[in-house]
Amino acid sequence: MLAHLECWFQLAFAIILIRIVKTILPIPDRATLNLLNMKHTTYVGIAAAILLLSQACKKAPITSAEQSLIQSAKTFFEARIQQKGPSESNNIRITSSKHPEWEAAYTVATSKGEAVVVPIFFEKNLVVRSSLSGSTPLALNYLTKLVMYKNDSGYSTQVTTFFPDSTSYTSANGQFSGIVFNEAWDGTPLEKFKLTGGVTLTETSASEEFGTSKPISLTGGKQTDIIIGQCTTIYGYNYSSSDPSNTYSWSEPGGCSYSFIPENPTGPISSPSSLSSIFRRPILPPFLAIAPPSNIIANAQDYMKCFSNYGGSDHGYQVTVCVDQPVPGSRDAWALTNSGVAGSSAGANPVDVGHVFLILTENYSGYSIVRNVGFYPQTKVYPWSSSAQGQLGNDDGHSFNISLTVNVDNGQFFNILNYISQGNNAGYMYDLNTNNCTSFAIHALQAGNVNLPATVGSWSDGGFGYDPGDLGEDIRNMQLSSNMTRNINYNDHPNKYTCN
Amino acid sequence: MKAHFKYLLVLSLTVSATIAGIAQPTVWQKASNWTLYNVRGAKFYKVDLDSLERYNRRPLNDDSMRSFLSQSVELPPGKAPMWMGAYVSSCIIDHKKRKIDISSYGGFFFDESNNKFYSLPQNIEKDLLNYLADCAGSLTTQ
Repeated sequence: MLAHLECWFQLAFAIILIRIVKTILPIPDRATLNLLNMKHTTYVGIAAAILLLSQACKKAPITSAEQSLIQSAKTFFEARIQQKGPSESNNIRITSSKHPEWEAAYTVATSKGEAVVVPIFFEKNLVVRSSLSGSTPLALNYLTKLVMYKNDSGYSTQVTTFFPDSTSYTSANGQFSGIVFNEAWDGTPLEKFKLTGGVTLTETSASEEFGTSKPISLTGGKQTDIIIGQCTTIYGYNYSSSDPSNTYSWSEPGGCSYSFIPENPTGPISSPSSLSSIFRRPILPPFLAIAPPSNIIANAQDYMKCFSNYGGSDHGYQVTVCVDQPVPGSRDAWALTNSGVAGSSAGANPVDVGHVFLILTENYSGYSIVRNVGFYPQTKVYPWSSSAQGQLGNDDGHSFNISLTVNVDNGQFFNILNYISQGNNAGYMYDLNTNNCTSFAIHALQAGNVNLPATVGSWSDGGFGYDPGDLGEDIRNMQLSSNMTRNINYNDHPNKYTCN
Repeated sequence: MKAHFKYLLVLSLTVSATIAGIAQPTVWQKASNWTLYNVRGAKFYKVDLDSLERYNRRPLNDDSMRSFLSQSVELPPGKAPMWMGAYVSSCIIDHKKRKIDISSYGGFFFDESNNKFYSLPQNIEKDLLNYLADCAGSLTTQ
């Protein structure tokens, strides 16, 4: 099952990193935290170290048997568990709305049999630290799992929350170390574990402070008081950049006194190795959803910010050049639109110049982030007025009749993104002859060291330049490298995923 | 009496002409049953009105479309911009179905029933294109 571990660290923690930089400061020695005065470099270093440590993971595809088990668990959960609301509690972690992200579910082998593990996402961005984890803040969304395994009555269901300690990420064998809470879906506490050095310690519901929590402030800003205790304490807060007045924090005991127990505690997930298998961060950040498409790309950096720049084999990058030739299968640089209504001079509708656009794809662990982007003039262009301010457009609905997909590495991919991002710059002009959609795509690929054959075409008014007709035929006739595939059939190519 | 009648006739004709003149640019206010089609893979201008039904489609919000097109202005003949792709839509005006090609850039659209181009203000163009992209996102190729 270890081979089943997925390397999703990078994307998730890149997002965490962004949030860290935005919001948090290190734990001070004193009792006051000023959330606006963080030492950015400290966190950048921590997050970078985490990212570097996570490069070696591999993923095995989910089998049909695992899919079947996940589906069965989902059906049970939705029929029997989901409707149970949170129990009475002043613990914000318990009362906050949450949902399991079934698309990111996976299975792990435990002493109780094959368990289904589903990352749980909270609607609010709850961030926690524990006094074991040092100053590293952690997004609760990456720590909380729904764990289900079969029993006589269907499925045993529990919510498991992992609070890694400061050594968890540097463990050479990938073992989780830190605190684990087991709770019912409604938040009723079941058990707490502490795993360290391959040893499991536990605290049961009989413990004095078990399951208690106390709000430490309900402040109107990002400043709050935090109680630093000797015992393990979980500190949490909600951060909402769009609604800073709704920031609040809480603390809850992570357990103070533990007793050693055998390595097979009463909890359903028994061994530290099982817990380590369960403790996988979600494949994609919790706030990802299907992107609401828009046509005009107002902010190129924002449009492409979901892409993550990681080397190695876990992340695959592709760039697809899509060509909508004016006359499919021809080098014609332009075409009169149809005769009759839309045609020719009678239709006052003379010229279709076609279009070229790019599909940028990052594949990771079975998921894809997809962005379509094409280069347009911001305003109308005419044969006699062929230049205008440039504008990037989302072409996820655009037709094409031939395309070329090139697998690239992360460096090439991000060089291409960098080139594309200039498309909206003030003064960066679209020109039908010298910088049209075709030349933009060709040059973008060149920025990524991908060189396409590029025939220069000409048109009746004496203009000349790269054009979709020639590029389409160049692609049709080119000798493909091993990292290239050609497609001569149209297929839908919607954008996938967005992130906050 | 005859003179009065003549006066009234001239007045009513003048008023009618004025109303007709004002109403002309707002022909889109009468449009209903707006529909968006997925003709991806085909040249938008090669799909004629009668064959639109063959393609996957979804309704557009009539009120939204009226709002978007309320400020449209007819382009002078012979001033046709270059096409680089378009959304294909249809609507019904005066009980007749029309095919409307909406450019994927530049804020213009083409009414195939009368071979006329119309232009939209830039701020409207953005909203219209985003709306169409949003609707097109749910349209898969048939």
